[in-house]
Amino acid sequence: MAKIVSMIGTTHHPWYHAKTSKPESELTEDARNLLGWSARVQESFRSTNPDVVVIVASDHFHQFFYNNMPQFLIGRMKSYQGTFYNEEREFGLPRVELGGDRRLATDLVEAGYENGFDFAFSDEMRLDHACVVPSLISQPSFEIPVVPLLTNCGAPPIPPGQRFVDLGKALRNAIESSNAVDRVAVVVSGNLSLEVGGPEQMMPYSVDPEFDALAMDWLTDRDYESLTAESTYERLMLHGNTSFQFLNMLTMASMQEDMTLIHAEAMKRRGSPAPCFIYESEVQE
Amino acid sequence: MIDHYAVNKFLYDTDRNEHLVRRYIDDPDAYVDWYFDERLSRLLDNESEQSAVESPDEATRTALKTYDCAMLYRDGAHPFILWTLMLPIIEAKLASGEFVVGEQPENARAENRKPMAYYRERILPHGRPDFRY
Repeated sequence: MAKIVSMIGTTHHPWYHAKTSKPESELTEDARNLLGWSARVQESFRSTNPDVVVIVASDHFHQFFYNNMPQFLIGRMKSYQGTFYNEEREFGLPRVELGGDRRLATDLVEAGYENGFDFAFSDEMRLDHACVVPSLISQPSFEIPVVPLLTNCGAPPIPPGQRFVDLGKALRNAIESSNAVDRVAVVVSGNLSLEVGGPEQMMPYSVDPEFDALAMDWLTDRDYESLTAESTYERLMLHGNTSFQFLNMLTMASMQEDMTLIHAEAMKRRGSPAPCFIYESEVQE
Repeated sequence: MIDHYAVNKFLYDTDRNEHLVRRYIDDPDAYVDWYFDERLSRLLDNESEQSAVESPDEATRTALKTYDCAMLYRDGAHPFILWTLMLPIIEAKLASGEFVVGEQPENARAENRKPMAYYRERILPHGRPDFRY
């Protein structure tokens, strides 16, 4: 049976590559913070040595559209190409290739039926920056195959917070009931308050610092009552029109169970801070 | 009121295709008419078949032909795909001098500073419209 050896909660900041691939002397404070975070995550991957990475990430109108909108979708490809023309254009993201794991992906879909989730699945897809950037952060060599689990955090009606809590439990059960691999890392990508295409977009300050601080406490304390009460469409819209991607962090919180919290930080940025979490399950006392 | 599905499909379908973005920049009147007359009702994953999706009214076409992001935003176009398509449009029009940007937000971040300022000064009066329906 597979074991979750590490779990990472991370930003998928789309300018990650553009900011961090500059010469040392031109790196901004944001870029240095991002590189520091990447080094920390890579160290966790080195010490926990996962066979596969399950990435929980929001689709950004690349795989999903209103003509056919899944809420939760698992990729079953043997390999993936990453990023799209419009992300290269806007963010300067590199085109990447990652391996996949069709057997684990199929096991997750089948186990979903036993755990209250009828996952959509895809045998042909590309990955957008929500999967590509966490991969650049956690394994820039792209050696470890991935299973993407895409969520609808963009196109309302969006599932409420309780569904993302339930997803974490279902996904954990599904991973642990598979014999496809031994060691699994889960990388969850999401954000705190955030706005894209609205009035507070790309301001040099957080959209809602009060929410950011509370949300970090709720996640760290596993305060599901607050997490779910504050994760409705109406409540999240108060913190920016893209705050729905916070919902993925609820999935992370509900997956941790007895894992040890190694690191929790709201990374300072110009803009809303980025949630950074590392959990491991085989911590030496 | 704009037709949300038609507008969102226009934004989504155009933004992901470099050639369509170019056509929209170069000749918005012809492109918007072509899109709604020829392409809108084609299924996204099967161009040989059509759906019953209805073409939007003249006001919606005019808003898209004039890159009227304020009206589209106010009426509930999806803000993410509205911004991602408006960005290359505004960049191109600022570069050609057709658009002029006003005062930039104080201490604005470097990414897309001028296009963001242009877009922001137009949508700002409309807050955060509900884009559920």
